[in-house]
Amino acid sequence: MVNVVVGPVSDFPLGTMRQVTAQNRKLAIFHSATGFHALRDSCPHMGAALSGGTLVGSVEAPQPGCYEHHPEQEFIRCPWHGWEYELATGRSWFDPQHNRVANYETSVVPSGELPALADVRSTLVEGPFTAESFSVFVEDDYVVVQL
Amino acid sequence: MTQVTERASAAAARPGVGLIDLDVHNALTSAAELKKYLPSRWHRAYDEGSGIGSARWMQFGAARLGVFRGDAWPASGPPGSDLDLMREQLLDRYNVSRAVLHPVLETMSVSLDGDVGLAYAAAFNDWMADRWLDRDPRFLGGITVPIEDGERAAKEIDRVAADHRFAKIVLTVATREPLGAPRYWPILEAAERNGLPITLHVGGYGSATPSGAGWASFHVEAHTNWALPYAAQVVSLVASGAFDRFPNVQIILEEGSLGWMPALMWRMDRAHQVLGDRMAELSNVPSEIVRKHFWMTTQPLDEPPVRGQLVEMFDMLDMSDRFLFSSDYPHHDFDAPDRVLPASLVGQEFRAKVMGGNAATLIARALGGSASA
Repeated sequence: MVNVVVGPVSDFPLGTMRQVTAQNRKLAIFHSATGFHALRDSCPHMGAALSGGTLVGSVEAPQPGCYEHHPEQEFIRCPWHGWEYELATGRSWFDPQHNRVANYETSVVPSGELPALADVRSTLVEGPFTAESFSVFVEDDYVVVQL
Repeated sequence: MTQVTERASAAAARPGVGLIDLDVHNALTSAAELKKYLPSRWHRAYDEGSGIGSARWMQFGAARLGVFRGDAWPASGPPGSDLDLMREQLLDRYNVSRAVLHPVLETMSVSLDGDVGLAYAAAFNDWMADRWLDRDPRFLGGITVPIEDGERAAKEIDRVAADHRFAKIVLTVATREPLGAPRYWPILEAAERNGLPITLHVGGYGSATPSGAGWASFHVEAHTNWALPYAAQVVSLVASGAFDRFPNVQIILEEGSLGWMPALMWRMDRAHQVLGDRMAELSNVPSEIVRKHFWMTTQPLDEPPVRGQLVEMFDMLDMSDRFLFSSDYPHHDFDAPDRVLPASLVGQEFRAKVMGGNAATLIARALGGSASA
């Protein structure tokens, strides 16, 4: 298990549903009324990006004509076939044993509590590829890349 | 995305064929877009009520998401109208080699008989060539015809078929009479003359409700019921002797599902055995006529809870050379080519045939045409 910074909090205002890539995995990051949630951004049914879905609460009907809305029980509804997954667990309550999307722990920590870069690096081994890199610097209000 | 593309490509089909999607829906950016291709003689009638975007929902009940994938809406215009988004979400993502287009939602709700019907059909075909086929060689087209007007439909087929990028003739599955009726023979004859298959696609108004049992209240009913008119059309075409009259006609059952067909073949064979002396003489038993003249697209693929039963159904059909992959992009019941019919379930050879090999045989004329275009 490693902690991966996906961005500053200011990039994820309340209501955000956005895909990020972390360690070669596409994740859907949600900032909902109940906090931050992260799911693998691929519906187990056909592979749609769940970050493009609809955030819904649950509705129960204890008896005919009586409906109870539970907005705190948050589900992401897939934009294709409408499969729904609980944000907190990734579980589909339609068929919880057979349809489940991977769920990841998320947390907001003060920047001072982030692990030092050296600690993160110590868990890695050198890979077979090297990407061409360029110097980048900020001048006035602009990000400048040196080619 | 790279992983998905590689997986779809590797599993797609035999070398050189690629992934072929038989059922993709493009759309007008707005109703006005068609007027560029419609003679001014018809503009007033078109402006005062073309039918596009109006009556089409009457058969669907309250359709989920307006029958579209929730993520398929472009910045402007309806799903299917933005070529770049279609490239991103379908062609590029899944490495689709050929996608056969047809704007079925628009065409099923305009008049499709008489002179105005012919004018609309011709406008759609010219729009298809100009706005889609000319802009990406991966696109092939379905020919729109004035369905209920056999002579005019044949005339339009002959006109458009000269362009080999058109790969099929599109009829809605609901028609005013069953398709074995003589009024449709000119369409069958023109299809045979031009070497083009006829597709029956979900939709149409017909002379009765598609279910044959009244209007559906909910989309779940209408969606399920659409299998029923397909069965009726198969029975009509077989029993009328249409394939003895037009022995080279090929029919694609598109989006009609598959699971009902084995039982229908058994039932037709039995009925033919005991009642065959009272109908047109057939050169073969009905089930063999089906296997020689019909093709079936896969979407929406039946998903039995015991997955192996899907394979049993394919075995019962015994027509593995005649299944064709279709996605139905951008509609809400889209099938993703990298997820349906995994080789682990159906076998690599079967998958390769369905994802492109069978289609390459069926639409060989169009593949040659687009390669040289």
